[in-house]
Order: sequence, then C-alpha cells, then structure tokens
Amino acid sequence: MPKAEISNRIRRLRFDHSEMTQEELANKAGCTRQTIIAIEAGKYVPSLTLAFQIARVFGMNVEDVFQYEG
Amino acid sequence: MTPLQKRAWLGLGVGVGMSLAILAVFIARGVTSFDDDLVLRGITYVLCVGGLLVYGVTLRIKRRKPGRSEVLVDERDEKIIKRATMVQLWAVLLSLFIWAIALTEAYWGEKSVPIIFAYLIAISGLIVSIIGQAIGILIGYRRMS
Repeated sequence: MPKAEISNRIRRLRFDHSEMTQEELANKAGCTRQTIIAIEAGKYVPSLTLAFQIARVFGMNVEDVFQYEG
Repeated sequence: MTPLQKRAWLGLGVGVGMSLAILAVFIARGVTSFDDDLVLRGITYVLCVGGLLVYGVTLRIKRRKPGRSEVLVDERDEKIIKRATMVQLWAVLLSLFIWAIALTEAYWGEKSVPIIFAYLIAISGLIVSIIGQAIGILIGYRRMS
C-alpha cells in the first residue's frame, strides 16, 4: 500500500491571519509550538482532533487546511 | 526543548551515572566480595532502591505551566513516549536474554550462579530500561521534528 501524504497550508494561513505566530496558533489549538513546527515541516501528521482544532482557529474546514495526496 | 526531551536527557544522565557508580563500587571492592562484604551489599541495595526512586521522580511531567494555558505535552509527545516504551521493552528483554545466555555459558559446569548476579541483573535491567526509554524518546523527536 503506497504511503499517503498529507500536506498543509498552515504557514500560508498563519501569515494570512495577521501573521499569527506558531506560538499563538499552538496556544489556540491546544498543542505545543514544536508540534506546529513539525506539522508545517511535514514531519508529523496530526490526529483528526488536532487537525479540526487547527482548522477551527483559522475558521476553515479541515480539507481547506490539510490536503490528502494518496 | 520539550519537557519530555529534558526528561530523556535526565534519564540518560541517571542511567550513565548509575552505570559508572556500579562499576566504581564493584571495581573498588571486588565483585567476588559480595558474599562477605556487608558494606558492598548495603551499597548495592541503596543503588537498587535509590536508582528506582530517582527514575520514579524523572517520570513526573507537568502537562501545563501553572496558571497558564500553554500546553507543555501534547499528542505528538504522547505518541513519541508510546514508541519509546517499545524501545525500552525490547532493550530490557534483550538485556535479560543476554544475561541468561552469558550466565548459563559461564557457570554451566558449576550448575549454580553466584547470588550477586541477582542484583546485577536487577540493576542492569533498571539502567537498560532508563537508557532505552531515553534513547527511544530522543530518536522519536529526531524523526518527528
């Protein structure tokens, strides 16, 4: 089974939302800044719960923030 | 550095420190003197129980900063510690099998093993457990950062 790739637009969205810092996003989404860094770098795929929380911070749907490239 | 990474470095320090302490004690007093040397037995017991207590203290992790909403440990940290626990388990199992094979081969002719090895196995199991988990955590962060 080929490995599924999940990409995201978090970095872009942070800048579009008043240049929100990673720290601010982490605090609003309920995770650590290191996790936001890892997600942005594509080193960590968040759980559905965290993905929803991050999307909610930007006021968007999950699929507008994360893209599945299976 | 996350609290879990700090704990891993602390664990690594405790593990290496305990190893050096054990080596120093047994080199200074001699392994074979365990049966007759009450002081050596006392030191061995203190290292066993003390090491376990120190390790217990390092297991405590604050999830949030007191009075603040900032998260210190999240799902990524929990995933890393779960994987590190598997590394820890395999490291301990491996060390036990190495002890079993080494002692069997070394004392095959005598059909019995000196009592000191019961403590050495216990202490080494603790040390391997501490170091194994610490290494597992550090590898986890390296892969997921």
